[in-house]
Amino acid sequence: MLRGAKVGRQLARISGCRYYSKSEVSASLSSSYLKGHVRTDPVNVLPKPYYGGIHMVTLYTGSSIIGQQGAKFVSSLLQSSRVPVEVQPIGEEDEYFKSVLRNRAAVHVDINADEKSKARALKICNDLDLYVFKTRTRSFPGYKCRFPCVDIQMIGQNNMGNYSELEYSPVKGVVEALSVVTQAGNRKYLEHAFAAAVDAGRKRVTLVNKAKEWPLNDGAMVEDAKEIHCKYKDCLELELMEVEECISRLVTNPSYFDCLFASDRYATFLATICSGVCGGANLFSAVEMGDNHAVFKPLQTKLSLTNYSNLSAYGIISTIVDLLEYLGHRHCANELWDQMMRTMDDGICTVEFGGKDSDEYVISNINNQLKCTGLGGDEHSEKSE
Amino acid sequence: MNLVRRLRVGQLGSWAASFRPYSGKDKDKGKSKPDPKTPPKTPPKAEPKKDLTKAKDKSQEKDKGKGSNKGADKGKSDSIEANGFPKDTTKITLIKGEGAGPELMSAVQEVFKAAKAPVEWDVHDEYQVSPDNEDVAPAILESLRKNRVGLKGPVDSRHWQRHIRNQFKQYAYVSACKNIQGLETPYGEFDVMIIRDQSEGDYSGVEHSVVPGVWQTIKVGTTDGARRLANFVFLYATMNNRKKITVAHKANIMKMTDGNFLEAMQRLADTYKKKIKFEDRYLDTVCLNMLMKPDQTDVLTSSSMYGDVMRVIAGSMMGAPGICPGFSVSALGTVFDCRMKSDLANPTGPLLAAVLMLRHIKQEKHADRIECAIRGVYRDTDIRTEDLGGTATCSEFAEAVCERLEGN
Repeated sequence: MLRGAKVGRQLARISGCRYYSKSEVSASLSSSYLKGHVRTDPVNVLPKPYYGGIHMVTLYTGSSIIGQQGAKFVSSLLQSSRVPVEVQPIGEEDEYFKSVLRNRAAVHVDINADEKSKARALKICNDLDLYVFKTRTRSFPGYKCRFPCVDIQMIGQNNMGNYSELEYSPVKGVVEALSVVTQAGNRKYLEHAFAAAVDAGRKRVTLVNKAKEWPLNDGAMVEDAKEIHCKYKDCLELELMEVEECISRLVTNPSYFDCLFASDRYATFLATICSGVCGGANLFSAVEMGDNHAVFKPLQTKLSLTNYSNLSAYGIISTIVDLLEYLGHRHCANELWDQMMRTMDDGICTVEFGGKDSDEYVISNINNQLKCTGLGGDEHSEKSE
Repeated sequence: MNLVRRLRVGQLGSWAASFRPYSGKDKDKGKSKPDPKTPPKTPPKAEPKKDLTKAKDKSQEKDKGKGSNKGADKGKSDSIEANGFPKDTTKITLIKGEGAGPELMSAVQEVFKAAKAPVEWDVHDEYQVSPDNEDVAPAILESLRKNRVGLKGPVDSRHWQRHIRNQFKQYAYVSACKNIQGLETPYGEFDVMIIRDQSEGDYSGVEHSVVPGVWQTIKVGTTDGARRLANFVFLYATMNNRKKITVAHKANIMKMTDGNFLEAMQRLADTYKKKIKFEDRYLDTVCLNMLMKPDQTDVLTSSSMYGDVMRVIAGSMMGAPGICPGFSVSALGTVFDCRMKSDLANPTGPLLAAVLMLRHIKQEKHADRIECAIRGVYRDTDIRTEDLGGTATCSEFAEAVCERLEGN
């Protein structure tokens, strides 16, 4: 990856970054996983892949046919929108890690939730230290929405705690899982979360915890949150809530919530409940973010869902909107989002939301519209009905 | 590792103790299963002569639907005994709890009086030893051990709950969530039963600080615990004529712990293949299905934390947090409650829990009457307590239920 092995090592020593020797990186994911390699050194940060004004992004398709179809949607959308983002499609495991390390942004479109795929996703999270998981669920009228006016931004911790996969069997017949939480990790997450909440223009933040059950773990997180909140006192309001109360409020009155913070343990199922209340997980996208790397995926892929038979177009479009925002093409992201809202308004919806069209039709419709107008182009173009 | 081992051995010790009563129960269940319809010749006594009788009583059908009608209750309840109660009165421990607890429990007592249910209350006002000591009052423990059935009001203290759980080796918690007609929610009709593990899993309560700044929680799971729960789940589900059991787990991420739980369930699924369907799904899928298609969910089971989440979801889908009744299962007795906060003055939860209890002690007719009255109030009138958007107080609601009972 770097020039010569020897030179590379010397550079690494000088700059203090971790040096990825050839053997470490090219060893397959499964063997590293077996050896239990959890990243302990700071991540090697390569310069941004922004050459000639074009960003490079990894597109991981997985091995399923549906995943590959989803990937085709992504590339077609990016092409017709004429956004300067190039996609590097990856089908194979080992290449994926190297590619994400290089490109610093990836789109992961897949429908498999089995052990292997999860292990892969978790390994990426651990190695690249993607410690924040963000998703924004809102209700779209007409799309199985049970409660109107819901808009919840969920910022959860991603790779601490349970998902470090420390499981063992001390005695026969007993299995244990250790969940290790560090204060440094908590603080890092909280600082990022507060800054992100302010960025997103949120007013009230609810920290979900269960300090009654785990007074040390969650108690410490609550203390840290209160401390960090002092800096943001004038623009954000911090609220602490127990898990059970949060869930019951989510189910009965979700418009109460503005922004949710949650630790590792609760983040995933809270995201599931939020999305379930807003119409289903296939409408939304999620991003796993670290300091320098980010992986974007439809919420379907992030959660272990087996009840959807295919990837929904809306999730994919949301993912791309998030990606474009992350890369800085904010205008393009807004345009693409407007296009998606336009298709919803026009009544083009997929079968599961009561329409008769397929996901492909939705995407093609948007593609055609984009080809006519182009993002960042004329806003008063005629609509092709 | 040393510390972990010591903690583990301690926990194993308590489990070993709990296995003896469990194995007794299992044997009884095995015996009574082939003849479930035989009503006990003696009316259900409050103080059982042997563990055997009561275990048999408990293991017999707690039928929620119309189903079988236990002949033991109504026929013999007319003769009054010296203490003013009909002959086959069961003594039930009533724990008032805190906050709105006493008010709610007196509402329950009122309704039972109006329904003339053959229940004698053994009331306990003080639920903890003293305001500083959060242990369960020993009087309560004794009375529960004697009566073996209890009804509990809301208690917020986690320590107290854990204490009772440990004392009675309660290993499962069953929640029966059925939607209430007349209480409009966006979720429609559903009838879900959630059985969750209570003694192990995430809520093992083991956490400590390894070094300052690093904390560790240990999630423990044992094969025996999993098997015990699996046995109970299948037995209970088949006895209540349920169609499908779904296990929620995260075995793709936590392979060993959840895998162990899953394995125990799957092993039993084969034996029960003809009677009931079994499927296993990831937790996220189950939650989503519960929210999106609640009418297709039947029996859900899971380990402690996931089960708790599902219980809260199902309970809230009923309309308000804290009206979902349930009970804790152990070999030494059953405690009925509805997990609500102590400042809610909605008696629906405790009333529904009391109905479940009546079914448990096989007073089916009374249970049906009271349940009809409660559902009738929701269906036909618009008397609702404050947390459901109405203006009635707890006692007004109880009065409305009593009126319907007297009318019947």
